[in-house]
Amino acid sequence: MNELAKLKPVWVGLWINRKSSLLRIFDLKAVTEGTNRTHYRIKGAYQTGVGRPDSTTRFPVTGFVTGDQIVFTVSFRVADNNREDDEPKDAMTAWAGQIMPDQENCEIQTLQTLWHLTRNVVEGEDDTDPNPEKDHGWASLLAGADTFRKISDDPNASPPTLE
Amino acid sequence: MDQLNHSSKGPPIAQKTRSDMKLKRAILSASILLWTLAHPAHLVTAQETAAATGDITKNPVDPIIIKELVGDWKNELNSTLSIKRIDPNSGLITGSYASPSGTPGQAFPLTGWVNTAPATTKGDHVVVVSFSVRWGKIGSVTAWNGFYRLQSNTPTIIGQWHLARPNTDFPWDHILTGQDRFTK
Repeated sequence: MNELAKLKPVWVGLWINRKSSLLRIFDLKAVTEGTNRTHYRIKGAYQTGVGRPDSTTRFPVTGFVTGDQIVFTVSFRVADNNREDDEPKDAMTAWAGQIMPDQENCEIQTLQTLWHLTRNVVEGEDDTDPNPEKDHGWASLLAGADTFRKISDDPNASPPTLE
Repeated sequence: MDQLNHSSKGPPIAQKTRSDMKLKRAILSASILLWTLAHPAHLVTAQETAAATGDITKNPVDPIIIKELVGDWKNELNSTLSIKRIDPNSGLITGSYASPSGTPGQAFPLTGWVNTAPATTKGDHVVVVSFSVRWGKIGSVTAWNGFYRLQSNTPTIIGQWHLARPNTDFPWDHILTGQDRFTK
């Protein structure tokens, strides 16, 4: 558990990226789940600063950390639970990265990640297309990079107000 | 975590690594030179001569590889990658690309690179390839990066691509990605 005690102060807290998206890591849990080693699962919430969802809407985060490396995913389910949605705008994103000296300011440490986002291919495409997934499936994955900076050890801290 | 401390210790380590690399490179160049001298001149290929002169910017492509790569390749979505020419000295690829997905199927200009290194005795070996396409009035560009190899006896080019689009709904959704598998 010594390892868990070391990892918690590194990861638990409020992280913000350059798009003003918030990654709140609430807790780390040591799990084995049938393996013969300890793994560290994270629990958190994500608020996107860009895109269709409102920036105050929280989406669940799950993932793993080891040392200064992390993988995490967010389910951006936006479909209304009380309504049958033929073309949900749901998307999900997976990030992978590591805490390293920041590329612009090497005196601070930032979490540098790359992400893939899977979106529903029927989104915004021609309604008359009989087989959108076959024709547009190749355009379903977006890619990018995010750099996160830890701004509080309290995962429920308020984000800085943007001018 | 203490980056200030780390960077103050940084330079000596960096210098040591650099001089190590210089030494290793010098030993490598010297051994290649000795090997070249010890072998009959007609067995020395252009590639080995370039290596022996120590100019790491020069790396000619084996004519056999050029012959294998030049031609028409098709991917899963029935796009045609036409490799028309490969410059044996520089590895520069020129050709065209036609895609039924996202375009009506015209051929768009393509340019790229091929590079090689001698296979090592351990691990895996491929011929590395990259190429990119400018999609004319559509306004986007795609770049593939990957490799050429025999896969279950079939000559195959595997390429991971990024497509950059000039007009999107958001600042963060300009880049699409995926992987293509081309066979002849």
